[in-house]
Amino acid sequence: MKFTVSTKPLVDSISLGVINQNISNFNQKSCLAQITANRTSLTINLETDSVVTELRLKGSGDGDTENVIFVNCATLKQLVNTFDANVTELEFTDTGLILRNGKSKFILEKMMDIESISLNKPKFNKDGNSVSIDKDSWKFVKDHQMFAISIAYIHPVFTHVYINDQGDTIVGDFDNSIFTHSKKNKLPVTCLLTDTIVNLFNILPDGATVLANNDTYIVYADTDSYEYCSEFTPHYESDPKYGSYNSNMILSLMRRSENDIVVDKSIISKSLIQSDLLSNPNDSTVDMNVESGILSIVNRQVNCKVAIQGNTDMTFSIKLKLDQLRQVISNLDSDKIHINPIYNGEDLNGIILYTDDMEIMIAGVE
Amino acid sequence: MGFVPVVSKSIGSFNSSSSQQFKKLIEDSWNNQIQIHNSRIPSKTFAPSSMRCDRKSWFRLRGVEPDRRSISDRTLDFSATLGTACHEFLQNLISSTLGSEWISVKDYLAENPIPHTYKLEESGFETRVEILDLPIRFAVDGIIRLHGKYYILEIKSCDYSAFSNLTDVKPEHYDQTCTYSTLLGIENIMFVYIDRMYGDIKCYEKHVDANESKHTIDRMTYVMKCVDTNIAPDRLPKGDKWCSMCPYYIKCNQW
Repeated sequence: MKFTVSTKPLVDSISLGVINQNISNFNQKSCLAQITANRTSLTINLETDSVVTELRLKGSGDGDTENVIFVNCATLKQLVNTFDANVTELEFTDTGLILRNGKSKFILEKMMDIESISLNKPKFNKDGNSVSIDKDSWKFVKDHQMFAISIAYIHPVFTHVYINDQGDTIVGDFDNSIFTHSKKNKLPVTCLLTDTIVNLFNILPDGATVLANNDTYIVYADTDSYEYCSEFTPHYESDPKYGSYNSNMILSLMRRSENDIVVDKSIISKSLIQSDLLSNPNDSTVDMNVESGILSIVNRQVNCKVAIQGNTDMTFSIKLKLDQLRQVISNLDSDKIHINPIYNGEDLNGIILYTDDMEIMIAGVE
Repeated sequence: MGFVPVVSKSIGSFNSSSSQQFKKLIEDSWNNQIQIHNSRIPSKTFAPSSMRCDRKSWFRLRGVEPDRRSISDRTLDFSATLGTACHEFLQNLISSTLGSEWISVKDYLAENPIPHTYKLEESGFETRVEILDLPIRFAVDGIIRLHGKYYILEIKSCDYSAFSNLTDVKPEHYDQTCTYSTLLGIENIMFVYIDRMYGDIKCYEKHVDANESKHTIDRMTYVMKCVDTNIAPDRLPKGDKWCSMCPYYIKCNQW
């Protein structure tokens, strides 16, 4: 059977559906794309550990019987991304899938017999109390908070984004003593999301919605050229493998104050670049000293002074990691940065830097 | 209390609170009218004025809802309204000047049968022709007879700068009238361009040959086949001036 489809929807939908990070050789299904064609539609099913996806495209088949084939999803994605002719023909054969684009022909070998495996399918449900996915909010999380996510698996819970039904969105890394917080989440749920789900929310077509379905969530997008549906299973703190994110403790530290100090982002950034330039590779820390209306960034080679606004009577001194401080400043979303020290009794433990839309807490170093 | 930046365009456009509110009332009402018009789903037919772009015809034939646009283009809408007024002015003038040589579509088709079944609906100077064996409806600006030959009259209005630079028929206008010519079997076309600002006029004569007529029918057949197979036909080249005004601009980029 031959099935003809417009190339762009094919490329766009596969790019959305095949998430490279979720493909693992330890999960055979994650490597597969199940492609089904009939006279009028092409369906592509994908399954990974936590996301089950179905893509539906319109086109034209030359036979009445339904044809199914399994091919390597990563290869399929890479291949179709190279296509430049507007129309692609998929021919289902006993040994593989032949793709024709322009005057070129490509053969993708069949990976499995349909008798030996079948992929789970999402519950293609457009109804119910779905919530629109606010792409701007998730873009904010990606652009300003995701830098802080843990990439070490010592505490796997912190390799996730924490969201709750109050809108709190926390991304942080316990081992590096950094936490970021915003109120950007609009999903009425408390759970842990992987970075791939946050990335997915960012690249979904406009008008995409999410619908709760017991412990899973169904993401649905209907464009003129294709339909996308995926069912993802977030992680929960109740799973002993992850445990508590300690969100209450983190949120209690994100304290804003009327008596804070305010600095210009551009000026403090410049001071940090200068400090970095002359920093000693064996001592990548700086002291942040605040006194008499001046914030100083100090190490053995540098003593940069930044004028502060706000509470010019404030006084504190704390040692911070230079790289971390630079990263934090660059990820804040405003030209004016508020800074407030965090005390535990008499001890100064860290600082909180914040703007109207977010807070970042970093701990001091010994 | 907050401050808003000065918009120089607004300075001097009202002189009191009441006049400002009245101005806003008019503008809001106009914007609303445009939004309602823009959100209408076009009929599932070819529009001769869109024949230049197969992709646009394909969206229409599939009954696709136009993109939702948040901004109402009042300038474009005003040009269209002035264009309609120019049409009526010239149709009135030409029909009274030519007298019996201004031919009604109904009379023309009675004397000159076409190989299509059709329905006619007369309205003012124009007659809407609905071809029943092809998905197309249209209304020509007029049919005239000059020196014993039938002509399709095509009136186009344009702004002063476009009018000044005009030395021949614009290609997109020719595509549109090729469709009329092909379906009504009139090979001669008389274009009348009018300057919307000063009322100057330019006239150009064109002839549609058999090859061009065949090409028009072939294009329509191709687009209809694309609808059946769910394959998007080619779009206009990237950056074409038509695309920025197209009601399917966003959806087109999805294909």
